[in-house]
Amino acid sequence: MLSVKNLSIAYNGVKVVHGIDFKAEKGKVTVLIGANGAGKTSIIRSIMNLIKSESDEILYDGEDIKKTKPNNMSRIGISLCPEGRQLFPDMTVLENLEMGAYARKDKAGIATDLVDILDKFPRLKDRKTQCAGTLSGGEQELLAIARALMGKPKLLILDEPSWGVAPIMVEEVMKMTRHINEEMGVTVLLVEQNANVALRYSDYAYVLDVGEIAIQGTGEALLGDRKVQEIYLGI
Amino acid sequence: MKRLILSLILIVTMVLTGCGGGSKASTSTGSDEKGGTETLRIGFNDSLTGAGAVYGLPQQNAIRLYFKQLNEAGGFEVGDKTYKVELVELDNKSDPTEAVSATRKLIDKEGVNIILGWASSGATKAVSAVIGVEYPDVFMLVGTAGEESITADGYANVARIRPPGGYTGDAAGRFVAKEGVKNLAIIGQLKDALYEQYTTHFVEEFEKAGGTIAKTETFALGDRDMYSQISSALAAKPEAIFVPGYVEQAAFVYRQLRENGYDGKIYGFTGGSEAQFLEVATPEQMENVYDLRPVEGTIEALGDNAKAYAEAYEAEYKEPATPNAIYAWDSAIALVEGMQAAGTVDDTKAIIKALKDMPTPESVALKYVDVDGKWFDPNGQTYTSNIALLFKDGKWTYVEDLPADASVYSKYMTSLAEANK
Amino acid sequence: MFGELTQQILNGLVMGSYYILIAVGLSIVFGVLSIPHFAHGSVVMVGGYVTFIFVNKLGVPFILAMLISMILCAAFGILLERSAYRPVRNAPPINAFIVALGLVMIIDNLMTSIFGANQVIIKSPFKSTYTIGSAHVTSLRLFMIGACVVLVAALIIFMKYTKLGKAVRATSQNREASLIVGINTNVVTAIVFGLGSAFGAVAGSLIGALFAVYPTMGTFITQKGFAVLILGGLGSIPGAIVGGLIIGLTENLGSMFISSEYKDVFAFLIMIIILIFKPSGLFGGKGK
Repeated sequence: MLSVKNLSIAYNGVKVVHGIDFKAEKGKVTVLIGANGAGKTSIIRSIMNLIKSESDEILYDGEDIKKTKPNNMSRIGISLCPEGRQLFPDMTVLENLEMGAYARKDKAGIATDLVDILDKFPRLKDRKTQCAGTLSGGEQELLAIARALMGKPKLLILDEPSWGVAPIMVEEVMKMTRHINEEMGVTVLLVEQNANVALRYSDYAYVLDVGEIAIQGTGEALLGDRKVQEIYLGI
Repeated sequence: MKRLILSLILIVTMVLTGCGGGSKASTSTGSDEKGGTETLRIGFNDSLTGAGAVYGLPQQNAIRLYFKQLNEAGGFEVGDKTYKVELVELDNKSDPTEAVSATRKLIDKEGVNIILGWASSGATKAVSAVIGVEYPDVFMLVGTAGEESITADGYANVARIRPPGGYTGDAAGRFVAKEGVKNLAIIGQLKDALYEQYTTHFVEEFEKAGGTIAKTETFALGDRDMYSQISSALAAKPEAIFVPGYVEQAAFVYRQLRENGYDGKIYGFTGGSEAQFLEVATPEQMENVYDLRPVEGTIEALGDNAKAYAEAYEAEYKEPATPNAIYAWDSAIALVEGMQAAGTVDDTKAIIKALKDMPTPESVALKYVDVDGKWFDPNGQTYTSNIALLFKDGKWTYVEDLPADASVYSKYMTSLAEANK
Repeated sequence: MFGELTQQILNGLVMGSYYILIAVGLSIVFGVLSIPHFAHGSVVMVGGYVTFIFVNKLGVPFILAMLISMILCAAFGILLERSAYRPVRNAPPINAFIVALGLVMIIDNLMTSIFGANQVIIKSPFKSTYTIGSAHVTSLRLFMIGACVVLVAALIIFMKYTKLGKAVRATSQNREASLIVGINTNVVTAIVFGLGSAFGAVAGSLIGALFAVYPTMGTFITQKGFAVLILGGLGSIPGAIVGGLIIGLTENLGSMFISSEYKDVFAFLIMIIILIFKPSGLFGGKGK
């Protein structure tokens, strides 16, 4: 679904990502893990064209998206659940969900999806007229995911979904992610600091270390890898 | 080819020097090619822009017109020489600081020692203090600026045509009491010295005659929203309303008073032409509005000279003169009369002395009240008659002269000058 | 006393409406773009001059002329954003300030050279006066209140119920999130500048008929607008409404109960008092 070749990112002349390659296979959950400052969020923001970067190619479903404007991403089927949620705090849960479908033109489809999503996220349904800024961290994360789903994406990108979320809620968020992938067939690219949780729910994973891909493999394989265990899982 | 370029350079240099207005002149007279007629350079400093331009631009028109007529008639004779006048004009932007620096430029750089103009009180007052102290050989002859201290300060080289505000204020206060008004509200530009002085004297005479002031409200120069002041004033249920202020501001007050349901008499002290008022208020709104002011440019209350002046002004400028422009006109006449009586164009002290020694000459346009038989009193102040005007059928109509006593007021001004020494 | 109170309250509502029409535009521009649009007062003035040309010089009926002015000013405002503010969007805020000052100088001088330094008064078709108890109000002043109510209500409906309106709200709350859900923020920017300038044109036209339009009025208008914004909370529409009303009423009631000499001071006094207790303004605090 998504193929990135030789991506480099620099801030103020300092290179933070050094020519990496990775793929998010269609229908799979792909995970990018790494410590803080490894460059994970920068990678996501470059794909979305929110920041400048250099690469040989960034292909989405076979199309080159290097020049696609950030506000056109939703229209072509890429939905981002950004770092720190980035909700509309003074709008209600319902209004936030409506905004998720902004790029869509099928009014009837949006209406049914809204009902479905609320059913799928009962916590949000209970709070649908509440302002998004008043929800708990975990609820906000769920809302951010639900908002992204309202765009009817083919590729869902999640940037640090565990950040500021209570551990119990983190599991719920990850289960939901897995469910979205398996039941709805959405390709997922997930970027996380919390390696343990991320690896357990992934199909394929890349480990990012100071701007380079250190190891890659299936989630299971990496979970069992000694080096990964020591450095990233703290075992 | 070289000679051509040389002559071109010569011509250009001459033209440029000519356009520069004679920045090298160190005296105020110069020879003309015509032989026999000399050019007399006279300074002019006024509000050509800013809030005072409504009074300053007409003054400029009047003075220019007077000297144009004089020059076209061949100039004027003093002693055995004939002079034509060249005006050196600067804009003080209705601002005191600008006025002082423009004045210094006129005296120090342009070399004039007589300056006419002077419509805005604030700017004029700032300069009169400087000229009175620093330039005793310069003659400052003021047209419209009405603030009392300009002549009450007692500087020998400052004189003024327009009578001080308080002199008319006294007369107006007596008049309004005579009209039978017992309870009066004031809505005025009272932070402005001229209107504050006029009002203080007005209230003194009004209360002496048995009147009471129901309410006093203030607005500032440049204000247009006087609704709250008017609401307050009307709540005191006055029999009449007194409005001292600049013409633009007063016009808005008159309009807003009528809009707020007030149909009674309004006594103003503003000095504006019909056109200036009708730009803001309708003729219906202006009905029953008085203006209590010095006679100024009310031609029907004056004589033939005034008529000739008014016609000439309108013919030249395609619009009627504003009431205050006549002060400038007579100031130019005063200058020529003084020079001829003194027999000199340079000795300003002699010119001033001559002016303070003569009765009002025949050539003037305004109607004056001589003080002890003299046109200019010892403080360099003239006193015109004061009148009541009523706005009727779209025009200001002359009602009557206001009761006034010039020599009493002159003595009062002298006492102020004494206190100032 | 009661009669005067009614009259002064009416006076306050009229000027309050005028301030609201100015402040609302400033508010939505600041809310969405974080730009303090210091040239807004000049746009209001241009709105007045445009209506003046159509009514006094071309004989167009007042309300139609005002609508034309709204459209032209909306375009003008959008043009200003594109050409002047956008290039400095990512630069330090002082640059936007300097740009605004430059715009003010250019626009004010342009108006002076076209119309002269004197005031112009727009001919108003509203000729009647009404009485409410012992208070008087002209139809023009009632129209000012009415126009404000109608326009602000329309704006609120637009923001709350239409797709574009929600896009504007979303962009003001989180610019990046609005990009990723697919909102074209350039369109939102244009809408916000267009609406703000159109409201300004109404304010300029009405004040030009009630009092006058003159080339130096822009600065004074901007000052008042920002006073309202700071009082009501930056970027808040309810804040602009309440702030405008408070300032309009305080000026007139203060004049009534204390003195008309300090009319302009009252508004600033109230502003300071409220800011002491709530530094972010009455409705401020969330987000910006």
